[in-house]
Amino acid sequence: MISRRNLLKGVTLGAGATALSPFLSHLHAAEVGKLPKRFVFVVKGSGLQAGYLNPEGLTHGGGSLVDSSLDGKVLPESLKPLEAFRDKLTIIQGLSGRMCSSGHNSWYGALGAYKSTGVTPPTAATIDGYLADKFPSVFNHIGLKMGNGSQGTAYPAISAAGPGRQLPFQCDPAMAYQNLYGSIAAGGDIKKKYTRTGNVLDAMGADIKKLQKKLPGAEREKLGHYLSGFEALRDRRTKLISMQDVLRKNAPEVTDKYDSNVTTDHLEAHFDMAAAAMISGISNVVTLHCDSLDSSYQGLGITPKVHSIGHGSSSGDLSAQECRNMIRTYHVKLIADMAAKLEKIPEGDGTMLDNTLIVYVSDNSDKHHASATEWPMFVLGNSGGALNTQGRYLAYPRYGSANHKATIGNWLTTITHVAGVPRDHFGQPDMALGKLEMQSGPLSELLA
Amino acid sequence: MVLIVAVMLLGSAAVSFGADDGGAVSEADKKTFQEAVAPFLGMYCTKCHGGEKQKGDLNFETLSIDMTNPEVGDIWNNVFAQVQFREMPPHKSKEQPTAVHKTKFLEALDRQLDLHDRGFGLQEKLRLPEYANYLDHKTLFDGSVKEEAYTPARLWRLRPDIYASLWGDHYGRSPWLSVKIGSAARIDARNVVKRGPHKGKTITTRYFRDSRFANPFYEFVHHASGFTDYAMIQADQASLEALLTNSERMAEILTEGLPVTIVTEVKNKDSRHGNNHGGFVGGVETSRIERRGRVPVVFKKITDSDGEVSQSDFNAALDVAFALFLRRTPDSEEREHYWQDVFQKNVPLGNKMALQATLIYITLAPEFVYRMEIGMGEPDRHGRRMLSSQELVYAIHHAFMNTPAFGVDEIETIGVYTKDSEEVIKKTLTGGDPNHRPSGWLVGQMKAGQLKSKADVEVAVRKMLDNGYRNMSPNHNRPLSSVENPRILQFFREYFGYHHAPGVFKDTDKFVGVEGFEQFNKGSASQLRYDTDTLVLHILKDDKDVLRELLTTEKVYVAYWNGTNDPKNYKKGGGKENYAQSHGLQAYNMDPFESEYTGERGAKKALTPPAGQRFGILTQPSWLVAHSGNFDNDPVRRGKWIREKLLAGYVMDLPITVDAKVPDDEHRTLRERFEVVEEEQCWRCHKKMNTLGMPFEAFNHVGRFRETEIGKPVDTTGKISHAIDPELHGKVDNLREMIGRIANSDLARQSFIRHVFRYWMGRNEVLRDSKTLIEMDRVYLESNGSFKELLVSLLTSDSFLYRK
Repeated sequence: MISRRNLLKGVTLGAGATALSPFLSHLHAAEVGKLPKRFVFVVKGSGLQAGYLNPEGLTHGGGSLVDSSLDGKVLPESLKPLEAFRDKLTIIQGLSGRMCSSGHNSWYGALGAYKSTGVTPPTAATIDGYLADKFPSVFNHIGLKMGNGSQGTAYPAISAAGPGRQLPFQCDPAMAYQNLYGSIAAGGDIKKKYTRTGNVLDAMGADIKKLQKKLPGAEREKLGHYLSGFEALRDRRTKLISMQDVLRKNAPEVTDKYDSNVTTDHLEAHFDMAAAAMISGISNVVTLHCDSLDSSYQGLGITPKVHSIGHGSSSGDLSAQECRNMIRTYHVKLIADMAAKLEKIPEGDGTMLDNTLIVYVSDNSDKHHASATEWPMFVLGNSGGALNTQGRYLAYPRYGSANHKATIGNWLTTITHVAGVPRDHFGQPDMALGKLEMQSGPLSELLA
Repeated sequence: MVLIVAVMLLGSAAVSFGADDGGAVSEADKKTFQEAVAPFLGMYCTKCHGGEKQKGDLNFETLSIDMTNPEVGDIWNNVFAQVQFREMPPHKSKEQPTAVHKTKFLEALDRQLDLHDRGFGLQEKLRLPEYANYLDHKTLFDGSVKEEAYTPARLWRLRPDIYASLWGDHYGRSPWLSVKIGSAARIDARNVVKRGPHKGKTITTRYFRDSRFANPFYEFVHHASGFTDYAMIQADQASLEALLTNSERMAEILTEGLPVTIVTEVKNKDSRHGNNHGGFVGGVETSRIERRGRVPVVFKKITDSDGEVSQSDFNAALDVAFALFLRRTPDSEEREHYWQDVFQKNVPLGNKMALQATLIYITLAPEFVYRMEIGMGEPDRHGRRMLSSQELVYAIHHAFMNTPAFGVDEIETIGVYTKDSEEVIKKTLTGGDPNHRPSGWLVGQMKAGQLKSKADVEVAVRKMLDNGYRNMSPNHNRPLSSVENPRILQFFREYFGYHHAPGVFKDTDKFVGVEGFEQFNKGSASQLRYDTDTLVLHILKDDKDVLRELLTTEKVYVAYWNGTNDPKNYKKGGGKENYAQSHGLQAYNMDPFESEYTGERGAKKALTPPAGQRFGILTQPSWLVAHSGNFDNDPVRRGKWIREKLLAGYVMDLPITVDAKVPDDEHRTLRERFEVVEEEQCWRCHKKMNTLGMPFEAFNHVGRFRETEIGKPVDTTGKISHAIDPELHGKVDNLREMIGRIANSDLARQSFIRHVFRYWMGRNEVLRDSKTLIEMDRVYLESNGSFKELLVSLLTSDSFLYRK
């Protein structure tokens, strides 16, 4: 087993101090006992069906809170891959999100708890964008998505760094690899593109400086901001070069999955890269968008697209429901694999997994055509003990019952508290539940 | 060590600072205080805050000037704010400073505070749109400023709308082609598969081009200014990252073709096609990505070549790349630079990569990101330089349009995919697209040498203003961009802010069956703003007394109604009565059956709501909703809007100690519940907003006129106070009286003109712009309130034309 901290210490000794300063402070925090916090959001389309998350004997949808330990409970079929992590698992039912758009997609709703569309700019940061800003690293946020081919950068409209600032997702694993690990690529197109971009950044800096000299003071400063953007990107590349050893050690191997025609291969490559990104320390916040309505799971032997399955389309002998179950189980398996990788890395008194929060949720609450009255999800990890769970099932009173008041806004607020960067309330209120002050704040059950 | 300052009144104004400072305060600081701060305090402050009286426990005679002490710094900062915001000296005091005296005092104090990082940052703030009204209104318009106007040479970041129109269509879409085979469509020769395993089956294709890209210059709006495009806005790292991502994609599209997802659905006997993609159930569905579309021939020559590329071939490619993105030809120095430092440097990666690097480089270059307004003309006797012809093309075009100023001449392209069946995506780069069309009239003027003088500019501006009226009633299908000179309507949107109505969330589920709210459903807010767009456009078309009309017209337009009531609609919707009660017209308290009209197709007729209810934009439901809360009216924001936009005033930022909350109580009216803010600490600021906002209680929070609230008659009284022009002061019985008084004032007109200036200049006005503003005001009055003449005046002013 490799200790990431020791590895990184070795790396930093020979590196340029300025380029590494944010990184060093990050390390320093680790050494004084404050371990880094990491967040992974795994988002699926077409709804996450609530009934398939209930362990045997536990049900959701009642009028009062169900709070049960998972001890001795038989996990539902699709969560079986998480058996080894059951003491780190929290299943959450009964949160509503009526303030978000519903129908086929909530867009920024799942991670932002606000109303939005897929074509207009986001109006606020989503939780991943917010955390990326609070826990910066070489890459503040990494967005990876299974597309419907290798069409490159996508804008699925689920994540935002702030108002008007949609975060991009990379569909093409080779392009993602180029971005994240291009500095260690041995050759081929990945290396070439990485070098090409580097050459552009290098030459541009000199050009801007030349232009600056011709400008009056205030405008020189304005251009200076743009120049510092280039310098930041170049710094990032310098950092990555200084981290060659750790990257080589942890970067996933480029296999035929990276240029496969099968999209599920891409998703597997994305999960590999996401785990490696956290282990090598180049990012603390990753969002994996597993699929959208036009995605295909032909790699699993499912022929109709996600949208068709949602509409009840069967695939050969498989019913639509069986297809949905297979897809969900597949995602959970990928999450379990990622968790296993993180658990192998010691950190502090425990492992890297202990300081990571993995959230599995749908961008369209619980159904293919959802109304956002319940937004099921599960969470793996407890973020260094800040999330109060050692294997727990929580079902909040159903929407419409007298006791219902918990929304995904409260859940996202909870994450900000768990992360140590608390907000009074994350997202918009559901006005049908009363004024904001009556429904703001974290879910107290989940705070340690 | 705290310094004790003795303030003594010597004669009328001179005040002397002097005490043992123990060395904590420099001699220079003391001198400044002595000369610039002390006289002001002596004249206007020490009577209440001196030896005899110490109101608020403040005594300037003993107050330290040691700004290194945080407590002392805070006190002086507060002094600054009180004077700046006209809180002090008190209005009732007979001794009032002149604008000049006050400005000098504030500047001196601010400089002192700044030295110790405790400054109010007045100079910096005066550049920000939300603080623009801090500049003394009277001085701007009293003719005392003799300086010739100009705008400092500047860079202006590419407007997000322009980037979208330049980029979105060609490089920002994720196109896909839906191919349906075997559907029950009518069979004719065109839609039958001719060969292969599906021979004889029907085939239909549909091409989708969803816009999917992040705009690097995401919109910037300050809530108080509303203006989205200001020259001081910078491009930063976030912009660069988005630009880079977009540019890399563009470079591949232009060298390898457009990646198109081809989705093929083959129907079998048990399956069905839906109306849209994804409604397909059963059958076989496959998708693949293919490179389609067309690339410039000169690019293909380079990417196809394995060997050395000649510089002349590269130059041909560079010309096309410059034409597409910078809309000009490179000069010889640039050719050499791009050839040596960009292309050649990347040749080891292959010719294609080297060309891609060149393309990426151009769209990251400062020239692409920032429009330069340096003033390239000859200097005049004041040392100012007029904008060059080329700079003028940009400046004038962007004043009216959100599209690139220069077009692109036809570029020879070649298809990367040659099957005839894919006609639908065989788009050329330049044909058919207004953003890539050859350059227009304005560029022609430049080329003909007729865009050099002020007179030339006037000809050009008048020509643009006479373009006609393409679309007098925008809607979601025919949005802002389909309106002639869209930047003009955009100004009124951003000035009034009514287009923000859809951003205010209303619990529409709860409105069903509730009197006064039934007409307001999920789509209403969005539709109502188009009503106001239509109203604005009609007033602009008349072009008479525009501001007063905007503020007082009793007419309304309804964009989503054609004047008729189709029986099918009300039979379906639960009968005539239900239909009438929940009809969109009810937003204006009108019955659709009593307001029917027939007009030309698409033409909207002005409607007249019940008398005495509507007076201009501020009583349009769109404006009222945009300035309301989720559950209630918002008299504070409405009052603040009037204070800032019509009275050239301002309100202090919310003090951090205030936790503003209006109590819930369903038995009391909003006005009654607002009484909490009349406590002294709140009222200091709220008196400047609430009394202006309360007359709007004549409407419920979705903008419908009402006479009662929770069973009590609505109290619509208010008061105008603290205005620069005291003639306006006094109580008002209702909205009509208040708006009428304001609309007829010089102050409102001049305040409006200041906003016109900011929007089109992309910066705050400064005292140096005084002549421009006075001239605008004169022209507007002489032309009987013509907005066109007002714009001509601004766009031919020295502020617009000269740089220094």
